[in-house]
Amino acid sequence: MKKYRIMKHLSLILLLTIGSLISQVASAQLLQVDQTVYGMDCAPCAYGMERSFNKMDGLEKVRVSLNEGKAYLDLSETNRVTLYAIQEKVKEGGFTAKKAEIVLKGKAEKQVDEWVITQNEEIFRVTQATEDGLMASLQPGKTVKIRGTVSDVKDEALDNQWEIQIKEALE
Amino acid sequence: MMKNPAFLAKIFLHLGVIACFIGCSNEQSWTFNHQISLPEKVRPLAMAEIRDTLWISDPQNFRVLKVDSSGRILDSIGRFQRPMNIGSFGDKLYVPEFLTDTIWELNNKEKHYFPINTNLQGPAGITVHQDTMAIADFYSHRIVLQSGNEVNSIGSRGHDSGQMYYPIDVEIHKGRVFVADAYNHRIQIFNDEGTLQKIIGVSDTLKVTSGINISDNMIFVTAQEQDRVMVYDHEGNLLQRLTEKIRYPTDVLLKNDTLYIANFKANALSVFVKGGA
Repeated sequence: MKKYRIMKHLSLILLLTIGSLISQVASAQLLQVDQTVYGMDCAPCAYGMERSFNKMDGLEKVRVSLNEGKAYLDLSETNRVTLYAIQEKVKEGGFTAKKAEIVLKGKAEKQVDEWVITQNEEIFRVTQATEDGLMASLQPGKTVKIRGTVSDVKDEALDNQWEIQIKEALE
Repeated sequence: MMKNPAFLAKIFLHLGVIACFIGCSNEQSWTFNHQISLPEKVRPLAMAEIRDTLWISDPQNFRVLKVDSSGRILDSIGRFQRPMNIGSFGDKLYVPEFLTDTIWELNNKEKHYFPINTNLQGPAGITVHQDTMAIADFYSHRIVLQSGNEVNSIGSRGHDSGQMYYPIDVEIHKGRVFVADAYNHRIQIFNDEGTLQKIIGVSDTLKVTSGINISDNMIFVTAQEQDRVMVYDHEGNLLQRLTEKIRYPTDVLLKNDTLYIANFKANALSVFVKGGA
């Protein structure tokens, strides 16, 4: 009987853990990235980026524009893609990743005197350039869906922390 | 002394040589004639000719287009995953599809898969001559030659003579293979057995030689990063540097003594003709 109870508790814990993981996947994501890329100076080079992005899991649609110097990425609802992985891919292609316009779903948290939004182990620090109204809409622990501009980080200093100016609250 | 007939004959001879030189060079030189504006969204990367009609690859919009001499679209065939430097032979258009490593044959609007007996890595340019197809295999830094079922390749990755660094276009002319060795910024010429015969353009410090076309006595090559098209003879002597109304040229095509240049970033073709304006 005792053994049965332990098994029951373990099953419950397992279910809760899986449920929590699923909810994390569903609630924290990059949904869209318009990544500015420097150095795409020929058509096959630009389309080479496209070939490279197409091999990444979690990307639904990829389009690279040589004229605009941008990679437009639509990500799936269940993706685990990070901005770091995207910018590393750009770097591997021999190009330079600059600022990015993104649509992000993540959990808002207040850290000391600044707001951060977290997703897939990445931290997006909300800059003071964000309008007061948008800043005021953030609530601790609440999942938000926003559109914003991520500042450029030098390729040699890429890590999982970014600065974002929120441009629009989508949910 | 002025009455000396031998001296006068010499003067006339010199004048004749000078006049001939001016006349001959004018006949050989190219002059900007007009520009063909394409509809706003078209980004012409490359051109081919079928039965006197111009075809354009428009990879930004995933299609190839048939256009008339005023730039009007006569036909559009889409769903190509980045069609690159197209080629033609007879009534057929050959389309290298960059994202899928596939070659397509278009025959009267019907699209057929064309089997290649080797794995391509980013086919960027194609030419077909008789039973031989040559493909610029961008990421494998080589030219693939396929005749029937037999496949050979020329080149390997590198910067030495005979090696290639991201070739984008290729042409076959009189049994020789001309390669736009784009990121070595030069043209390399091989015989049909793959032996290097000549390298052209090195002393002109070109930047990204991406499109090439060959006539019986001239070689035309785009230097896309320098907004110019270079004209050489088959010995590699520079004959002319074309710059007027050229912006980011990615391909060049000689058709009925008229030179067409695809300006990728200007959605227009520049047209040059032989002789004076």
